[in-house]
Amino acid sequence: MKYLFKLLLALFFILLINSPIVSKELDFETIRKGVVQIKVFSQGMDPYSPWQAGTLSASTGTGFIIQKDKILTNAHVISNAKFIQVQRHNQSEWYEVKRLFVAHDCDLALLQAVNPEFYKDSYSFEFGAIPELNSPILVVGFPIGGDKISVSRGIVSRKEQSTYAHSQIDSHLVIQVDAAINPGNSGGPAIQAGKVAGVAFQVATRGENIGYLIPTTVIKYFLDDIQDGEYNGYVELGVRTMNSFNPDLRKYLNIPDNLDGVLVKQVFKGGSAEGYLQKYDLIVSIDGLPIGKNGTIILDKDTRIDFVEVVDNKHAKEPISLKVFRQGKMLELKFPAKKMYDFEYMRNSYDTGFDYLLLGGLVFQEHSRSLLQEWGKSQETQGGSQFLYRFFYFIEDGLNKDVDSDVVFYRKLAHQTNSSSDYFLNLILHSVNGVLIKNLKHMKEVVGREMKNEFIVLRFRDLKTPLILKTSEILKADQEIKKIYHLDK
Amino acid sequence: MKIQKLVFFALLTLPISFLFSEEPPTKQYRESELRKSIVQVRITAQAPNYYMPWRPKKPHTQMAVGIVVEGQRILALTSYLKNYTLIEVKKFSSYTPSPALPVRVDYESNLSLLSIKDPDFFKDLKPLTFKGSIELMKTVSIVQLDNAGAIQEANGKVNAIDMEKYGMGHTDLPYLNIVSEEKHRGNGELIINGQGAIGLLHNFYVRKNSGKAIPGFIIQRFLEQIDKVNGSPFSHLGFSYRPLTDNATKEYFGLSNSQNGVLITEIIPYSSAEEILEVDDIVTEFGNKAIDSRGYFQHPNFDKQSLAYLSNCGDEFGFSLHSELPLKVIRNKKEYEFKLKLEPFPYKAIKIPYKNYQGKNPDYLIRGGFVFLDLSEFLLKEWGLRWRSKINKKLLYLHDYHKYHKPGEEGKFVILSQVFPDISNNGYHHISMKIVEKVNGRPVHSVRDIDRLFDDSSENFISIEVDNEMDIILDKRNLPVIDKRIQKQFGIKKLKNF
Repeated sequence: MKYLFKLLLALFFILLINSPIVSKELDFETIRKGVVQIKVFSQGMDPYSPWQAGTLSASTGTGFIIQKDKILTNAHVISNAKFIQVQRHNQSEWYEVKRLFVAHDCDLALLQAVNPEFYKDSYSFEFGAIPELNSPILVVGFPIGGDKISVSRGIVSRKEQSTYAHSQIDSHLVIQVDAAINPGNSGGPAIQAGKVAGVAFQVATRGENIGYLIPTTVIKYFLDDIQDGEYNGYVELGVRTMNSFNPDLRKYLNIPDNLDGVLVKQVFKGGSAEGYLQKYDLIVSIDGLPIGKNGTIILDKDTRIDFVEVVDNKHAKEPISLKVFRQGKMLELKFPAKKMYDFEYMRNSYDTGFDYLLLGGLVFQEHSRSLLQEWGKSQETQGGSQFLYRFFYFIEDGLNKDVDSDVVFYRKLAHQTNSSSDYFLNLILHSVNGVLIKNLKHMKEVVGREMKNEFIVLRFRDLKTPLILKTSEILKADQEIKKIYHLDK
Repeated sequence: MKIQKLVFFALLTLPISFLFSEEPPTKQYRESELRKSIVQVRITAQAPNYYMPWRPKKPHTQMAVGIVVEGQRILALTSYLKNYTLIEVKKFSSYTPSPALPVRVDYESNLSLLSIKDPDFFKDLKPLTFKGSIELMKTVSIVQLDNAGAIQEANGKVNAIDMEKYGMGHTDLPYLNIVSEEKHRGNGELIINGQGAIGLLHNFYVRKNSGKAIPGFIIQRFLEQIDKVNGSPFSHLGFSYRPLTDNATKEYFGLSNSQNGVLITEIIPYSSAEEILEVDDIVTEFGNKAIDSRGYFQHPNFDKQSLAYLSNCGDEFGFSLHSELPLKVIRNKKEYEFKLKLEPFPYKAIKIPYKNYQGKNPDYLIRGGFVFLDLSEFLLKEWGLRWRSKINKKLLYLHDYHKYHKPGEEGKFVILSQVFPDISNNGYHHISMKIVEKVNGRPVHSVRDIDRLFDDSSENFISIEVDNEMDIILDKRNLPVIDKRIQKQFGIKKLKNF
């Protein structure tokens, strides 16, 4: 009987630990103590006129307190911010915050209030696991700029890898919910079982009432990364793959019928897999997780997801272990995860200016997504197909083999000396006085060196005839142009 | 009696002479004469579908103006005859249209000649000649036919003569810029002035109240030469150039500030310029005329005209097709004199067909559900008016920068445009608009190449290398069955069209 009582007592405690009594929903008053409204005054640099700042604008977003005195929000809430303030429910004061870390590739940022007074009587959230499909979730924030906290309830409807709109290139895990996420909600916590299960960050462009959360795996990756005092960002496997469904292709590669896996189409320069994987390799498993013919692994127990999710959760230098079927043999490969720097130009850029070179009124810049977007708005699209092609296929077509970055002549500040240069607008520079240009920094060095010659001969890709500048004229013209067009540097 | 003869003779000659008299005859009288030279051309056409060439687009019918010319033929605009399935010509004296066929087609001048099988068709018709001299800023009549075939006249004015490529042509030719308050179709309306027929309207922008007409001297050259030459009777410059207005470039290439000329930027492969001229040559004199820094010479009647006027239609200066045109260039700071043989546009230089397909239907091949097409501008334009912003940027780049062959290179770009889904091509269903590079390790230059390489292969497996895609592998032994299945499943009449 005594043993039975002890057994029942033990059973009671086990049930208690797993019961909603422990992981219960937070009461709304507690939630309000941890959710923060963020007011931002931002001013980005103008990629089209890189010598001047853009317009000043005001916006709001949401954040929430973690680790007692840190505020987690989206990177896009505070990008290009010049001044940031925060306020909690029932506070009348706006408190200034400083930026601790910003990760544009996963759209997260960490802030801290300057005045500790801000944290008085606050609540610090904890993180939970990735929520299950069809489970309820609560999204909290300050949508549409209102200063009253708002709550919307939804259901977890999908888990998938998707592009993060802030950078336009990075793809990580997202949680899809049917809760209303509106402007101003961004950075707010999605709460399940009393813990944060994600950060609200974007909505579907098609479909109604579909919102997306950054899951806790991505948040934890960010928080782990900054432990050493700097944010290093994501690594890339650096391969293009295709499914292994096709029966003729399988026969051709002698792949046994019972072997699943994903086929390597292309290995990119500078990626983790360079020197390890080859075209036609069948990647059978990653870190012991079997990969299906469509390139997916099982995440949790309810979702299949692209196998690169495993790589996505690794930091630089951590090992990637692959089982690969190559030319009839099974191989075990292990190599370190690496960041792929050649991808950087593909990402939207924030918080920093745009380096450029002014040469006789001709403005040169490295290709970038920001420049591409501004250039599109300016209607200066004549001859732009070369720029567009090289931007989107720079890595895929191996255009990065002979240069680090393309330098484009994208606009001119009109002056008598450059009246006939329109012919070359929007073209990618190939060489200066016969020297192949590898990036903007290199161009500056070469131009600086060649200024002792009488002429600067600029040659552009796909064009045989050169653009000629006379050094004595451009030196004089640059001074005049800076004055006329109010360039401060 | 003598008086009677004189009156009779006068009545006989009046209809011919009215077109060349200073003062136009009365409108009523002119109409009765013009209707013997102007016919209604009704064209039913069916355009190819370049993306799905096995199913042509809906047929449509349109009307154009035809001019009766010497040799019992009808002159009409080539742009209206393209993709024709039926051409019918109706004259003033008949209610029944007669079937017609194009016998000569020129894409460069946008002019064609039609023949009529009925030997009596031309009996009550009178050929028209284009000899009127063109004067700027003078009133002209624009003659068109209404839907019932009756002659309608409106006033207009020729306010300029300039150069451009006509709609389907690759050669810069002069055009008359016509302004008119009336609405016109630009379907071959006759332009006449006090001295005679001076052009055919081949374009009209109602919103701008202006249009473009083919000048009489271009039409006359076409009529005189089209039977004598194989191809277009208009020669092509053979190179592209850009203005040379800045002193730094002039100095670099060895010109003094007072010297003028234009810089050659591209030589068209297979043109007569290919053997003689080089990129970075500066053309200072062309056809014995001094060339200014923008490439113009002073025409005695038409003000400044581009140097291409001299090479492409410079008969009045003694430069006709196959003749030699002298020019002076500065190369490596030295002056050279050359002679440029005047030849038509070299169509074989084109890698990505544009402007016209020279009357051919696009090639296609479907094997194993994979659809192969030759890359052309027509294919890209299937994406609609804003095709440049919609299509794959790699194809747009190729279209802009690799339109012509490089020296010694032949063939076209072959595109794997889409995949008809079948269990046999599982895994490849998503592929769309990719460039095919090799079949069985051998480079491909046309859809026909692919067909040949498939048939010639003695291996069981055929590999198709597509840019940035995994190779496509097909088991050749299964292809006949798969092709039949796909043909039936998707209702495709023919798996290839050559």
